[in-house]
Amino acid sequence: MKKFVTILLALVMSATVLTACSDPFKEPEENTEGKVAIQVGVLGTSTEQEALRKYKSGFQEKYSNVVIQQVQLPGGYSTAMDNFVATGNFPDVVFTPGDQHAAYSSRGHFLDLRTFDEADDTFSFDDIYPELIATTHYDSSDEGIWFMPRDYNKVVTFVNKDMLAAVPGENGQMYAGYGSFEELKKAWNTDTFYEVCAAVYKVIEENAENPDGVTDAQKQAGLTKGTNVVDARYNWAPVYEAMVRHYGGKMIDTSQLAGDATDWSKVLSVDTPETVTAYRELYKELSKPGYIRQSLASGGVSAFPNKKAAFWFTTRPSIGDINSANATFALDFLPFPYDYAGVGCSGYAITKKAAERTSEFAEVKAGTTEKMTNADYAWEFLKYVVSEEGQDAFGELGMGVPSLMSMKDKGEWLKYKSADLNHATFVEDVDWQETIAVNDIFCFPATAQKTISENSISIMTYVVKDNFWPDDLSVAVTDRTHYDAIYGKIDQYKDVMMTRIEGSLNV
Amino acid sequence: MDKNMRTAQKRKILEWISSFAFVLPVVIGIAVFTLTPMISSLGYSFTRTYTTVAGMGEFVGLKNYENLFGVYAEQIWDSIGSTFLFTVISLPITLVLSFALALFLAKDFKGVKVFRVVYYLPVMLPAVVSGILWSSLANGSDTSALNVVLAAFGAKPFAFYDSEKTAFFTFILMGLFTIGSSMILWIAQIKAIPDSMFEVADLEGANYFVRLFKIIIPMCTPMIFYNLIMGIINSLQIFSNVITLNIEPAGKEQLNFIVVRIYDFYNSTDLSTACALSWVLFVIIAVISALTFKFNKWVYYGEEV
Amino acid sequence: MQTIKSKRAVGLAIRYVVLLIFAVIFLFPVVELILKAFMTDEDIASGALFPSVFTVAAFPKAIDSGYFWWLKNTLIIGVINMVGITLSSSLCAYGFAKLKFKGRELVFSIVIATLMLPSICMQIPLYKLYFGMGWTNTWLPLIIPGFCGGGAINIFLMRQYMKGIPDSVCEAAKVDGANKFLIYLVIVMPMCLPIAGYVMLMSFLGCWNDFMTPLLYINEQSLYNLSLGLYYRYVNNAGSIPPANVQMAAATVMLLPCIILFFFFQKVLINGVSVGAVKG
Repeated sequence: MKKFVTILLALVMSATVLTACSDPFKEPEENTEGKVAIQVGVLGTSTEQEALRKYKSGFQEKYSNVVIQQVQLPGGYSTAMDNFVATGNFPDVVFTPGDQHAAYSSRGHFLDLRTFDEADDTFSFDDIYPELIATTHYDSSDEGIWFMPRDYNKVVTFVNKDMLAAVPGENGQMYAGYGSFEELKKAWNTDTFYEVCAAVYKVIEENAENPDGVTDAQKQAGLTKGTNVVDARYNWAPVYEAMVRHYGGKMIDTSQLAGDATDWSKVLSVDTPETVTAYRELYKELSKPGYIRQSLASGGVSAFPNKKAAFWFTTRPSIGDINSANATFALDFLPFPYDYAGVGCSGYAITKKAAERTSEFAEVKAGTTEKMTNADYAWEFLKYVVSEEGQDAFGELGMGVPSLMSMKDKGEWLKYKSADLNHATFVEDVDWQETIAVNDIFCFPATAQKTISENSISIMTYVVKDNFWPDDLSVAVTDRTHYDAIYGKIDQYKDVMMTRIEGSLNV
Repeated sequence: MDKNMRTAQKRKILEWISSFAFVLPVVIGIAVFTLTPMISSLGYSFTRTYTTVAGMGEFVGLKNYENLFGVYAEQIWDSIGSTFLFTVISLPITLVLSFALALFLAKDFKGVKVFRVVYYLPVMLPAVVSGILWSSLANGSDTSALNVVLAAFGAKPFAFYDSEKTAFFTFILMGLFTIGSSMILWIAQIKAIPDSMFEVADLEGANYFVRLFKIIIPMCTPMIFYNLIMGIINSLQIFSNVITLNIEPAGKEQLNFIVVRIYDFYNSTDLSTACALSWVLFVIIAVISALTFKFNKWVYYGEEV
Repeated sequence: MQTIKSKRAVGLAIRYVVLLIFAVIFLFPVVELILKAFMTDEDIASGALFPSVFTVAAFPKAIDSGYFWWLKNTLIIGVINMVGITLSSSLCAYGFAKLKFKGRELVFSIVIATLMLPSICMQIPLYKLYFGMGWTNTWLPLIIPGFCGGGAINIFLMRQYMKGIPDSVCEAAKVDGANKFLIYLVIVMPMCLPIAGYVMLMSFLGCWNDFMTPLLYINEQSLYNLSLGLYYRYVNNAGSIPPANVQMAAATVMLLPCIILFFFFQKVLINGVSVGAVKG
C-alpha cells in the first residue's frame, strides 16, 4: 500500500511537472536582430502586462526598427525598484505608480522629462490633465516631471444596477424611489447617496431577518445576509483623504511646511479639531447607520466584484477585478458622492541608465552627429503612450481612462462593454466637486512614508468603529474629555508616526 | 628514520584532510551563510544604509542603537514586551498541554494512531495556508466560522483577530493548535523509557502519580530542556505566523513582535536600523539561552552515549 | 477483581472522551478549510459551516495555469533539496560520527551552536550578499544552502543514528581495504535508511511549506513557489482578493500532498523523532 501510494504520488507530481511546461508569466521571446531593443519594466499583474502588450504592438508597427522588451518588475513595486537600485541594472523604462515614485525620482534614478519636452516641438505637457502633472513631482517644492502620466484615475462610485433595480423607495418605485438609473444620475449628490444607502440597508436588513420572504429579483441581485451597502475602501488614501476633506478636515496639512523650521507635528494634522470633526461626521453619516462594514478583515475580500455590495468607491482599473471575479451583474458608474474626489495616475518613467545606453543599431539624432541613446527611443515610446493612438489601444482594455485632455469625449475607452454606460463620469467635472491629487505624503522623509500611510489607515479603521465614540455626538470635538477614547487612539498613532519622522531625520 | 617520520606526518595530514573533507560542506555553509551575514549585519548596524541605495552607507557609529533606545524607545520596549509576554504565556501552556496529550497517547491502545495523526494535522498546515485559514475562521465578523460556532452556543460574536483587545489572546490560542509537534517528541521520549523501570515501580506498588513524577518526568528532562530552549528561541523570533495573517490593522498592531518590527524597518528602506535591532534581538536570545544552560542542573542525561 | 476491571473501563472511557473532545477541536480548522473549498459564494457570505450544496466551482478559479506553474516550481525545488540535504547532511554526519580527526568536536559544537542563532540576523544581510553574487531572483538561495550541510538539526539526527552503528563493522571494512567514502556509501548509508528517509521527508515538507526564504529573495512571479504565490494572491494583494471558497480551494490542494505523505510515512516520522528524542 505504502509503495503504491508513493509511486502514485510520484507519478502525479511528475505529471504536474511535465504538463506545466510553458511559463504563464513569461513573454514570448522576440527577434531583436538589427533592431534597437528598449526594455520596459512593468508589474506582474495581468492588467499591467496586458496594457504594455497593447502599447508595444502599436508602437512597433510605427517604429519598425525598435523592439520593446517586456521586463517583469518582480514582486511589489518597491521591492523590484530596490533591486534595480542595488544592482544598478534598471530597464530603460519603468512603470511608475503615481504615489510611489518619490523614493526613486528624488534620488536621481529617473530622468526629468522636461528636458525631452523642451527639445521636442511635437509634444507638450499642456495636453495632459494638470492634476496628473502634479503627481509627477516628488514633493511640493519639486517641479520635475519624473514620469509620463498614462491614465486619469479619478475615484468614482461603481454601481451594481441589479441591486438598485430591486430596492424600492418609499414611493414604491425601484432605484430607491428614483425609478431609473437615469433619474438617480440626475439627482446624484451626497444627500442622494445617503438616501439610497438607507433604502438598500433597509432591504438587506429585512432580508437577513426573514430569509424566506426575499423576492426573486432581490435574491438574484444578491440583496441577502452578508451583503454590504458600500464597499468603501476607506483604508485607501484617495478615498479617505477626499472624505475627510468633505467634512472640513485634513490628514496632512502641507500649508504648515516651513523648510528647515517645519513643525512636523503640525503638518501631520490627524488630530486637529477640524479633522476630528470630519471623522465624527463620517462615523455619524456612513458608519453608524451601517452603510459601511466596520471590519475590513474577513480576509480582505472585495465585496463589490463578488456581488456583495451595491456601491464601490474605486477607480477605472478595478474593472479588471470585476472581470476576473466572474460575477455577472449590470455595472454602471456615478460620481464620487463627496465634495472632493481623489485623482491619481500611473505611467512610465525613463531611467537614468537609459541615457547611458546606446544601441549599435541606433540612428543618428536629427540635427546632430550623435547617435540616439536608449533614452531618446524611450521618449518616443512615452510619446506614443500618450498619443491618441496609444491611448486608444489602452482604452480597448477598458481599464484606463486617457490622460490626454483631448480624448475626454472620444476614443475606444468610451465604448468599453457598452457605449451606453456612464463612462463620462470618469473625466467629467461635477459642479459641486473638486478633484485633488493625493500626493501630500511625499512631504515626509522617505523612510517615514510607509509608517505614516499605514498608521493613517489605522486611524481610519478606528474612526468608523462604534466602540470609540461617545453616545452624544453633538458635543464639540474641542471637548477632549468627552471624546477621550477616540483622541487617545489618534494620539497613539500620531506618536508612532512622529517617532518615525524624528528617527528618519535624526541620522 | 627521519624519512619515515616525515611520511608518517604526511600521511597524518592527508588522513586529516580526507576526514575533514566530509564535514567541509557544513564548514563552508556556516562560513558563507551564517558568519558572513552575521558580521556584515553588525557592520550595517553602524552605518546609515538604505535598501534604495546601493552599497554600504556612511559610518555613523552607535547612532542607530541610540535611535532605537532614544527616539524609537517606546515602540521598541513595547515590541520587546509583547514578544516576552507571548513567550511567557504561550511556551509553558504549549509544553504542559503537549506533555499531557503525550501522556495520553504514549501507551498503545485501540485508535491511538488515529489520535496522533489528528493532533499532528494542524502542524502540517503550511504557514501561508494557516494564515489564510485563521484570518478567515477567526475574524470578528458574525459570519466567521468561530463566531458561527459561538452563536450556536448562544454566545455573542467575539472580536478575535479584529480588535486590539482580543488579537493577542487569539494569536496565542491559535498557536496552541500546533502543540502536536512537541507532543510527538514527548511521545518518542516516553516510549523510550525502559519497561524495566515501570516493572520495578509496579513491584513496589507505586501509583500513577509516583510513576509520573519519579520516572516519566525525570526521564524526560533532556527533552524538556530541548523543548524549552528551542521554544524560547523560536517564540522570540515569531514572525511568519504574523505576516501571513490578513486581518484588520487594529489586531495586527498588537502582534508587534520584535522580528515583525525588524521587517518593518527593512521594508521602510531603513536597512541599518533593521540590522541594529536584529543584533539587539541576538543579544537577548544569547543571554537567555546562556542563563537557561547555566541552570540546567535538573536535566538527567543518563549515561553518556 | 470486578472493581478493578470496572475502574479500568471507566478510566478508558474518560480517556476516550477527553481525546475525542480534543480531536474535534483539532480537526475543526482543517475540516472547515476543506468544507469551505466546496461551498458556493452564497454559503461563504452567509457564514455557513457546512455547504448547502457541494460544488467544485471554486477549484477552477483557484487552480489556474499560474498555480500549476508554482506547483511545479515547488516540486522541483523540493526534490532537489530532498536530495541535497540528505546527501550533504549524511556526509557531514558520517564525518562527525565515524571519523576521528583533530578539531572534530569543536566543529561539531559550532554546528550545533548555529541552531541558536536568530535567523533574522542573517536573512537581511544575506539579501545583499546574494545580490552581489547575482543570486536574487534565482532558486540558488533556496537550493545551495541545502547542499552546504543541510541544517544542523539534520546533521545532529544523522550523527546520533550513525553512532548506533558498531565501529567494528566499519573497522572490518577498513581492514578489507575499503576507503572512507566506500565505507560511507556501502556500509553506513544502507544502515541509515530509516533516518535518511526521515530527513528526506522532513526536508521535502520543509521546502513545500517554506515561505520566508522565497519572500525575501524571490520577486519574479515565474519563480515563486506555491507558498509565495498564495501569499501574494490571498494575503498581500493590493487588488481584489477572491472570496474564501477560492482561497480554501487553493489551500486544500496545497495541503493534500502533506497529509498524504504524513498518513503513509507516519512510522518514518515517529522513528525519526525518537532518534533525536532518545539520544538527545
